[in-house]
Amino acid sequence: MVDLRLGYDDWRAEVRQFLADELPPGKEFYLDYDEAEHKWDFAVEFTKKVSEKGWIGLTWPRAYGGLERSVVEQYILLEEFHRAEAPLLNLIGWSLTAGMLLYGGTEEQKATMLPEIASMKTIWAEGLTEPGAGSDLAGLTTSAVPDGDDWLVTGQKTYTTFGSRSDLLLAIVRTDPSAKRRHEGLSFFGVDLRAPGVTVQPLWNIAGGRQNHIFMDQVRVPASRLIGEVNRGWEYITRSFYTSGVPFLRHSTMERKYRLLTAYCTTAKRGGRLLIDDPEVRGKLAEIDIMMEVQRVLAETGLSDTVNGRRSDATSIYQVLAKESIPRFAQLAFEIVGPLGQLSGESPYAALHGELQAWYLQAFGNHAAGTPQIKRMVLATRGLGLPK
Amino acid sequence: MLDTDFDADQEALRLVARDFLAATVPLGSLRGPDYPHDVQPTFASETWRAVADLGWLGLGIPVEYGGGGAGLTTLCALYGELGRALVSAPCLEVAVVAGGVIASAGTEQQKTELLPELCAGRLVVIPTLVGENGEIDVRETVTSAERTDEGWRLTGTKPLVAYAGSADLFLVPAHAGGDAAGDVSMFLVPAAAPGVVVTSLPSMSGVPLSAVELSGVTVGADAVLGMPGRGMDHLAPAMLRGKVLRCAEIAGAGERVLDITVAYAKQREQFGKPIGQYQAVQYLCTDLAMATRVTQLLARQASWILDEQAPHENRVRAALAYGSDAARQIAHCSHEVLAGLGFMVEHDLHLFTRRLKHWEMDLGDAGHHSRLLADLLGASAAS
Ligand SMILES: Cc1cc2nc3c(=O)[nH]c(=O)nc-3n(C[C@H](O)[C@H](O)[C@H](O)COP(=O)(O)OP(=O)(O)OC[C@H]3O[C@@H](n4cnc5c(N)ncnc54)[C@H](O)[C@@H]3O)c2cc1C
Ligand SMILES: Cc1cc2nc3c(=O)[nH]c(=O)nc-3n(C[C@H](O)[C@H](O)[C@H](O)COP(=O)(O)OP(=O)(O)OC[C@H]3O[C@@H](n4cnc5c(N)ncnc54)[C@H](O)[C@@H]3O)c2cc1C
Repeated sequence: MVDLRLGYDDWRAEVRQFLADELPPGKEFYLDYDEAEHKWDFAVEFTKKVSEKGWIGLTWPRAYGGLERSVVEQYILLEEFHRAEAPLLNLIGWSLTAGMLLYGGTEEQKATMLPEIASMKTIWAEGLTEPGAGSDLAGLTTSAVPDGDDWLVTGQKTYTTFGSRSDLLLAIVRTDPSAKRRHEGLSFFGVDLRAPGVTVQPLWNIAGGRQNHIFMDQVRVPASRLIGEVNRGWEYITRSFYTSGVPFLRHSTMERKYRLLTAYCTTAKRGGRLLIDDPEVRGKLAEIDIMMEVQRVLAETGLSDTVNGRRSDATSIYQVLAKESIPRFAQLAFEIVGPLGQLSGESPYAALHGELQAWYLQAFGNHAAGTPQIKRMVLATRGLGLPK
Repeated sequence: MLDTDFDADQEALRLVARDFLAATVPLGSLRGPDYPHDVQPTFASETWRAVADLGWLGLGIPVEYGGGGAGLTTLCALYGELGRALVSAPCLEVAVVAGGVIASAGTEQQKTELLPELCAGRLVVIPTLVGENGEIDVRETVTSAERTDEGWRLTGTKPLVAYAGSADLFLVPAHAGGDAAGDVSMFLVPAAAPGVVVTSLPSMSGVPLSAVELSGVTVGADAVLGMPGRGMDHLAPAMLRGKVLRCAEIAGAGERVLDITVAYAKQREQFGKPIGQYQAVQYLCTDLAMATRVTQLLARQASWILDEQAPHENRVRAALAYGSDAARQIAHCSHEVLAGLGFMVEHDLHLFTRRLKHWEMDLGDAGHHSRLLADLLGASAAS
């Protein structure tokens, strides 16, 4: 057994110092599912500073704008960022798109697109889901047909996070309608979201933020924006989900919330007693602590497996438990805080500055990037070898 | 052995209510004026008047004071439907909690003056129950009442009052005469009295919530309801009855969420099949159905126990604990089935999600009623 964190104290301190310098205390950064102007502008400004440090392409080859640092350092970086709920943008760009480019992109694409992501020149959105294709991604119908040197893309993507703010859509589309199996004949494009033929419509979510519908009508996309080779889209997406090298760190986000919650419990009284002195409250805090511990050990095991090139069951288990823990956490927090948790906004009566009700509503968005049921299926079929 | 089916009159009432509310309270009417950005609901004044005209507000109030004199089992039939329709008006707060307290604690004069007006929907009496720090136990409030020459002076804040903006009178529990612990006294405070400040507060709850601040509000001696220092004698039973009907509302809303969810599971296809064919989805739908139906059965049984004054408070508490948690489970299961769609404002599910969260905690959450149940079990084991 080896402690992967050993020797990285200075690195962690550097990241913490950066966050302390760049994130003014008391400012609201939390950006999940939101595209509001004031939050977006700050997030862009912040992410540009991260990019100036070279930290976006931290693990990539230097030739593509990276720093060639280890995945352990990336893990530590993200752990600290999540803990601070830092408003880091372009997650799709530097995880999914970059992972896909590094796996299957052409040399020219790697040499141009990756540095653009690293330097915050292009922001990417994820264009997988369609009205008829959610869990069943391979059921998608958006198509691209060749037209001279270009492709013409037609169809609709939906639930697109940051669709109104991004430059490019990483869109999976059907390029060979005659393929024998549904998941053959799919390809990825980087579709310019400002090109003629693209219409973006808001899809407001219950947590006060937005996703988008993206309508594409004969949108002209140059062949240079076809990622890698044609008809290899399914291979690219499944590989990139697992090889983008970006660890899952939901539990670190939960840590910040847990800190706010325990701080509340040590100051708020109910019926004349501090919440922290209530045995039922303590039991619930302990349950949250165990939940975070479980996720942390799985995330670190997933990281070790990556570092050592081992096949990882920890990541699949993490995905299930992380998804399922989101609503459970929100519920426990509500039970601890009680009815004042319903209040939003800045009224003096709103518990936790109105954040709790947002956590609760946001928890219903835990279907992003796959539902808990599908994550269990992946664990059952890929992990345990159960028949499909 | 109890047959919880409604009798013919109760069933007829339920069907009338179902049809009337389906025709007059479309879910779309619950969306705020600036929808989807403004999801703060408002008081549905037309529905309120209609509910009063139909005699439903006074249904449980004694006949001699303008009511229908019906028992809790009959109210269960009505409140199931009010819940199903997510009616955006304080029927339960005014008619069951405040009305119940006035009917039980009021002097003859208070009853004759207030109750007929209340039944007619012309007098909105809003209970202010949640304590300054979110306490559910009304006795833990720090609102105080000082004796003056003419009556009383009240000071304190009730931070979470539903429909306060529509109130004519507030029902205010407070500690009287410097006694900060122990039982409360109850006061009727005009919303328009000097020193009463109502501040509307934004929330996720699906009902309009406000803080009601009382800064040295003076009221006459006749504003006291019941004997000073004996508030819980009247408040506790009214809150118990109120929560039984909340559970009926939770079950009513649950039935509608179940309809929405099952219909979606039949229609939505993924991997070439309706998602309702996948066991993961079937488990979610059946959990939702079970939570809804059991809540309904337990609420009906609890209402019967209270009507019969049968000595089964433990079974009533069990019903309330179960029903409160079911509110959470109903929303959770439906969101899991609807996945991305349920997270979007364009779908109506969130209207239920919000209201169910409020009802889960209103008049005591599952933990509160479980604790009281445990106390009863402990006491009976010891005796
Ligand atoms: C907040 C948020 C942000 C999002 N952002 C993006 C984005 O940026 N880009 C993007 O492309 N997509 C995005 N999505 C879409 C997301 O990936 C989908 O919601 C998700 O894949 C589920 O698809 P669906 O909502 O269509 O649900 P469905 O697939 O229709 O699922 C409905 C129900 O059926 C179940 N189900 C489906 N198939 C099976 C099966 N075979 N066995 C058992 N159960 C099954 C599901 O588990 C679920 O319970 C986002 C979603 C949300 C909520
Ligand atoms: C929007 C979105 C975001 C995602 N994000 C992530 C992520 O961040 N990380 C991650 O690890 N995974 C992610 N996933 C992947 C997801 O968890 C599954 O891997 C994916 O839905 C396909 O399942 P599979 O890997 O088993 O497919 P494969 O085994 O590659 O599927 C092969 C074929 O079987 C079909 N198939 C698969 N399951 C079924 C079924 N139950 N019934 C019938 N046919 C089936 C497929 O449609 C396909 O034709 C995401 C998926 C979506 C849709």
